[in-house]
Amino acid sequence: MNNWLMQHRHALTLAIHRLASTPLTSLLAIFSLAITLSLPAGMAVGLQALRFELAGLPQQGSMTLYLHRHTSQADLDQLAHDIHSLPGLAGARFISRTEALATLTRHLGDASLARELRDNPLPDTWVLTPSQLDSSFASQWRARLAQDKAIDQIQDNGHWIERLHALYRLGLRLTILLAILLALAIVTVTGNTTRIQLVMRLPEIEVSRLIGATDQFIQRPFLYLGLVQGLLAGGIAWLILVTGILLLFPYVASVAHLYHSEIALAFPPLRQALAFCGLSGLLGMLGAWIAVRHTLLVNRLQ
Amino acid sequence: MIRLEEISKRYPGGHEALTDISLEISAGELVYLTGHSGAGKSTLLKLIAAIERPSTGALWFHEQNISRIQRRSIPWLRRNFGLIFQDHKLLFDRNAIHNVLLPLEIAGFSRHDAFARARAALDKVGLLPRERALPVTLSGGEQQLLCIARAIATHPPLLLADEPTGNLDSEATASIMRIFREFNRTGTTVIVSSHDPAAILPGTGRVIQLDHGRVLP
Ligand SMILES: Nc1ncnc2c1ncn2[C@@H]1O[C@H](COP(=O)(O)OP(=O)(O)OP(=O)(O)O)[C@@H](O)[C@H]1O
Ligand SMILES: [Mg+2]
Repeated sequence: MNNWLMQHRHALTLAIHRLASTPLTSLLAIFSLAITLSLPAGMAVGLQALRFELAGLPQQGSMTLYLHRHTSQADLDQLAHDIHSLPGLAGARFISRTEALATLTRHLGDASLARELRDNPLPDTWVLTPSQLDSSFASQWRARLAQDKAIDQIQDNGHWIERLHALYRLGLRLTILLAILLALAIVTVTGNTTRIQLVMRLPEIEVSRLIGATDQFIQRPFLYLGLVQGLLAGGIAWLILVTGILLLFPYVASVAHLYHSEIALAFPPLRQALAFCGLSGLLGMLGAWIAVRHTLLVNRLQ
Repeated sequence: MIRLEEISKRYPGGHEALTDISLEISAGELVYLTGHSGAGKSTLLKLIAAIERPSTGALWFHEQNISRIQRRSIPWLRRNFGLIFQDHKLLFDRNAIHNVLLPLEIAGFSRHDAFARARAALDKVGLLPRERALPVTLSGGEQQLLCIARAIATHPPLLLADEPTGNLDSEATASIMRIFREFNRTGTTVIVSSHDPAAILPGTGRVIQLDHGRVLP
């Protein structure tokens, strides 16, 4: 085996040995890191589910205009003209009262209803869709259509989708912010455990330097210590996450059923799991590196 | 092998520990460094090992000027030396053989080779039966022997021993000095410091006497 590989194997063995030499401290540190990590990961899983749900929804909001029962043809024509001159209009569809009743009976699956109703109670409607999903169109259109005598009522249908999108964006930003803060937490926690290990081993470090150890030789086991801590924390965080998904799965499913939604928590793919562990390992190593550099500098070991 | 040119060492406190020292030590020599306590013996050895830097003058190890050595080159320089410290500097959290393994791990020996060499070194100083003993359970003389075993484990060409017989009785002192004599016979250059002139084995090497930081003629 070549020398370089051997030195690394030596450092890794030493790191694991050191971790195992203070099992309680190590476990506490690793678990606190894991719990810290599982929080943004859990939020990311929730957001992912929401994103899938959002993708299935109409990307536009819409506005429904309910018309007065008895409207002159002139007013109807005027309205149609006004509608087609609205800014930012992507589409407009006229649904006549007969068509609406037919749809309703079809939905109810009961033809007798239409027969029993002596008179069709439904109004004529227009359904307008904007070209962009934002709420600015709604008030603008309302103002433009205010003069039309044909209109009885105006209803915005887009708001809740837009709110959902806004909520998703907020959640995403929160998760990113949380992830950054918790990444810093990992760096500081591993930095601190490494510092404790370093202080415990100052005599060894001093002697090692005196008999020819390079900075790299001294640093290496501590960097591995940070790496191993981070990797283990990432792995455990993943287990916490998977357990969480399994526990919440039925509840999410039943809520989704009530809302006629397909929304479901999905297990993130293995690739993401590995990237997640790798990242937490690197963060752990970064914390260890900062601690080692700092301690070596402060102690100015010759 | 080692050449000092007008070396002086003034510690930050302002005390001049060594003044204007010039001397040369050739490969294969056995050198006894003597002088009263505070004469500057430890300081001289620390300068050679690049633990301290001279205030003025040049210090050569082969073709390398140690007085101007860069910090990152120091580890490679030190692998040429077997250092035996006045205060042992043993690690008390591990047993004898693991103390001896440390320089071998630093030098990058495989686990198998490192253990073989550590055992050989312990055997040379007669400590092999105590290889699993913790340093605290060893006597002062045995701790010193362990320190020697650690210094020779990598077969360095130069041994720097600072007061290796510090507080041992005359019999233990003589046996340790004989060990250095043995190493010197097999080609290792040895510099041993001692404040006790009686520790020197007569007729075995050169004596350099320090007095208040100067070499006595
Ligand atoms: N780090 C230091 N800072 C300031 N002064 C020092 C330092 N180390 C040694 N000295 C001073 O330098 C002088 C020489 O010290 P050194 O340790 O070299 O003496 P020594 O010959 O080894 O003595 P001993 O036989 O007691 O070990 C002493 O007066 C000592 O007080
Ligand atoms: Mg001394």
